[in-house]
Formats: sequence, C-alpha cells, structure tokens
Amino acid sequence: MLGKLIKHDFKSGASDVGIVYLIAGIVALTMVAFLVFDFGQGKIVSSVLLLIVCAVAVLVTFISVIRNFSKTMYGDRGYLTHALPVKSSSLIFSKWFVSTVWVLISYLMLYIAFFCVYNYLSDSSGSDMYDMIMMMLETMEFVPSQKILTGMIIAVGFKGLINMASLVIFIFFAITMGYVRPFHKLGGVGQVLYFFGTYYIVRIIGKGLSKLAELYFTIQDSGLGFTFSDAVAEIVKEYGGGAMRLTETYVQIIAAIVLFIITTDLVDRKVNIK
Amino acid sequence: MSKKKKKDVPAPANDIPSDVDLSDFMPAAPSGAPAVGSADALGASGKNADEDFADMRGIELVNADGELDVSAILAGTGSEPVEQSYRAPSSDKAYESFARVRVDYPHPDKDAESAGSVVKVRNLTKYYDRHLVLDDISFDLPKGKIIGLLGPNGCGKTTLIKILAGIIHDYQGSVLIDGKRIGIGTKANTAYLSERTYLGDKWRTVDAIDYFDDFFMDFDRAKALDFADRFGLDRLQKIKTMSKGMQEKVQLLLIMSRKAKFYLLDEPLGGVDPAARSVILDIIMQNYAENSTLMLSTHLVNDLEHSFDHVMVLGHGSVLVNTGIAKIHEMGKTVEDVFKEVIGNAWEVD
Repeated sequence: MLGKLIKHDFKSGASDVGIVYLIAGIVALTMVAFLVFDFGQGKIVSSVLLLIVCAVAVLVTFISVIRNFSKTMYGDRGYLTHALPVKSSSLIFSKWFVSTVWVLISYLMLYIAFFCVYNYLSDSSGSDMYDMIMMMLETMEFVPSQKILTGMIIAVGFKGLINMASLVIFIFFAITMGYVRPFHKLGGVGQVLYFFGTYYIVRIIGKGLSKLAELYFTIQDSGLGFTFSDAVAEIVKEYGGGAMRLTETYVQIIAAIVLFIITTDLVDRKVNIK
Repeated sequence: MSKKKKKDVPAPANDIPSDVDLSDFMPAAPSGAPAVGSADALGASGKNADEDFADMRGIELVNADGELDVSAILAGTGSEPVEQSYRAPSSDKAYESFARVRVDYPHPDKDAESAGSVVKVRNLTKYYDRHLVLDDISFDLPKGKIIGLLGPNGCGKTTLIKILAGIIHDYQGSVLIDGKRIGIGTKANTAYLSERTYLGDKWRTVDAIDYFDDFFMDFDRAKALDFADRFGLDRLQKIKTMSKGMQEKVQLLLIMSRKAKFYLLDEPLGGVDPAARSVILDIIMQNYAENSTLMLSTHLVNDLEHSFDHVMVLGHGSVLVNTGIAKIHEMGKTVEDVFKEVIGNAWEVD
C-alpha cells in the first residue's frame, strides 16, 4: 500500500509543480538556443529569467507541499484519505517522502541554474571553475585530495538533504497542530507560530548541545571517522582532511523522528477533519 | 420569522403527544424483565423503577391535570433503561424543547440480536469544543439490513457516520464494526460516501476509478467503468469541471462498485433533484453487495420509507428511536409519523 500511496502522492504533486518545472525547462532551452546563435541581449535576459523561474520553482514547491498536505489530510480530500485502509504512519511517510523529493528537485534545479548561468555569462566552462577552486585551495598549506573533496561534497549534500527532510516534517507537524483542539483556534497564524516555534526550539537545543560537546565527522585519506574532540578536528583540517560539525544535524534528525511519531499519533487520536 | 425560543419552560413533557407510545420503538425487554407497573417491577420502596427514578430526579410522572405523563415514562417501558434524563430548553436551538430521552441499551435490539450486530456502540460521547454532539450513546445495529439514520440538522448524524468511517478519532467510548475497533480492518470493509466531494480537483473520472482500484480490494473496476458509461460521464473529463450532480454520480459509482460489508452513505440524495433521486436510490438499492449492511442518513423520510429495514433516529445527541421498520408498520404508523412524534415539535415558530 505504501508504494501505491507514494505513486498517487507523486502524481498529485506533479500536477501542482509540473507547470513551473515545464516553464523552467522552456527557459533553459531558450537560453541554450541564444548561446548557440550567440544572441547577446537574449543571453542575459534568458539567464536572469532562468534564475527567477528556478527560484519561483522552489517557492511553488514549498507552497505545493503545504497545500497538498493540508488538502489531502485535513481538507475535503481528507474524507477519502482517512477512509483508506492504510496506517496513518504510511500516509504521513508517503507524503513526507514525496515532498522531500520535490523540494530536493527544486533546490537542485536552482543550484544547477546558478552554475549554468555563472558559466554562461562568464563564458567559462565547468572545468574552468574546478581549476579556479583548486587554485584557491593551493594557496592553503595543505591541499585536500580529490577523494577528500568528493567526500566533503557528498557529506555537505547529505547534510542539506537532512535539513530539507526535517523541514518537511516540521511543516507537517505545524499544519497538523492547527487541526488539533484547542490549538486550532489560532488557525493559519497558529500553524506559522507552531512551525517557527518548533524550528527555533530545535535550533536552540542543537546549538546548546553543540557548545557542550560537538560531534565532528572527519574525512581523511586514511578513512572516515567521528570525534567529539575539537583539537582532533582541527588537526584533521590542518593536515588536509575535512571535519564537519554534526551536532545540530543529529539533533535535527532526532527531532524529525519525534515529530513524525507525534504527528502520526495526533492524526490517529486527536485530529478532526473540517 | 424567527425561531421561537422557549425560555423558562418546565420539563417539556407535553411536547410529545400523549397518545404516542414510544416505548414500542425502544428495544424489547430482555426475557424475564418485569413489565413496568407490574408487581414484580416494584422495588423495595414500593414504587416501580420509573417512580424511583422520578423521585431521584424530582420528576413528576403525573402532570397538572392528573394524567400520566407519557414522555416522563418513555424509557421505562421496554428494555432496562439504564438512565433517562430531561433537559429544559436552555439554548437558542428551538428543538431543544423536545423531551430529551436517553436510553442506553445494555441488550441489543431484538432485530439486531436475531440478525447479529454489525455495529456495537457503547457510551459514545463526542464534543466539538464545548459543544456536545453525541451524548453517551449506546446502540447496536443489525447486520444485513438497510438502516435509515434520521434526525434534524445538527443532531450528530454526520458525526456518527464519520466516526464509523474512521474520519473522526477524538471521541470517547467504544465503537466496533463486525467486532473490530475502527481501523484498517474496518476501513477495508466499509464503503463511505461523504456528504462532501472528496475527489481530487485535478482528477478525471478514470483517475478516481484507478485510485479506488488501487486501494480497495473489493473494488470492481469493470463495474465502475460500466456505471460511468451508463451515467453518461466522460471518463476523461476533469471532476472539478463537472456539475455537482455529476460529481455526486462519480462518487456514488465509486462506492457502489465496491463489494463492501458495510456501506455508509451520508446524505446521498442531499443535493439531487427529485427526478434523479429515484434513479440514484435504485442504483444504491440494486448494487449494494448481498448480505451487506447499508446505513444511509437522510432528511427525505418519505422517499426512503419503503427502502428501510431499520431506522435509527438521533435527536440532540441521543438515540431516540432504534427499531425495525416492521415494528413501526405493525403499529399502523409510518417512519415519518415516528419522526414527527419524536422530532416534529422541534421547529415551533412564533
């Protein structure tokens, strides 16, 4: 059943954000066409337009995530959703998974658009940018190897993914709270408050724990590791390795899991569909 | 024209005509239970149970004219009444002026007992904020029957159906369908038609059919497509571009294409014109799965009178009547008569 839920949630999301992505695709193709025909004025206009469209795509995706969840869980569609013979946890997991994928796609589009526009307007290629980064790194004492650099890029990407995924759960929790008595009395304003309230509480806890004992993820040529020692992290960095702060990330993961469980429980026991 | 607010009116016993014996609509007494007023029914106090109860509550069983007050003994004639209470009008809802009789059923209705119960509800209470919608109700519903759920607006019909369908979760009490708590197991066997359009805005008829086909094992896709053709629906037309009547047809075809054990239809004839009403009613009656139970809420008592096997009337959050249609007919009455007797005085106006 989970697979079917995911399939239908993808279809539902695609119908909402599909049009924006289609527009972005058309603008990108226009930009390529102007490049091929070397149409100077059009190059600038289409590049700026692509950036704007991709930024709008991120915004539209978030709006779609919020709208879809509210509508299919607590709006008129909720009458069908909750009558389905599936667990609430499956319902929420499916929506979380699909929403995270859409948010990820929108961010990837934006980053790719930035990268393309930068190269396009500066008449440089991807390899030029790589050379420039390496040149900057060479000014440092120890140059990270390609293996470490790749590892760090993957780690940063993974951290970003966790941020997006937990953000979606925070949104779902805040929306759900808005349908639980007596919290529903504040309506949409309440949902915004619950979101920012939860988000900042988790951030504060993360920062507090980070000061107490920071967990580092280290990448060296000799391998990967974890350490709570600031000194070890500094040494790893000094010798060309990478060290990434993880405390806030794992607090975020724990918070997301807890909020997922609470949201499921609220749906099971407390929520009233309008 | 405003509804009359009956303030400072004593317990509204006389709102119910004195010639109505509503005890006939209540579940029969369990075997061995003493008849009201019989010697066996007299307790240690020398009074029968109703008199004891009346004493406790300060209710007079005899009115000012010295006649027996029918409404005051309603629940005492029939099965063992666990509790009965009266509420003087207190809010702006005019229908609160009718006698509010709560009867808990420790034993299932006779019909339900013989056929087996599909629904067992015990001490169900539901509030919306501070507003009490269902007030500690208990009842059984018989299996394999067509059950009419009747009652005035705001009496809790939709709330009860939503609870049975698993849409509302925050209630108190026990609700069992086929002996199971509301959950995945009951939802798989319950076909629920909401009073609202619950299909996706961007769906076409065929998308809705695909959706039901994916999630409900008892869904008959071929039957649904056949229904769509018979209704003259364009399978590829977006549902949001359809008229309300067509949207209701789509929802109905989805529900009636299931071979469910329990059908819950909330106002299926609500927004339908009289001509279409009989067609829809025929579709419902001809297509619900054999041996299944169909519960249908409606205000259109007349149109459905002959379709029901069993009726349940809710009023002011309580079960006022829960009986087989045969019993009502045996008394030479119609469902509408009964409805008017228990609810009819609700809308007195100046």
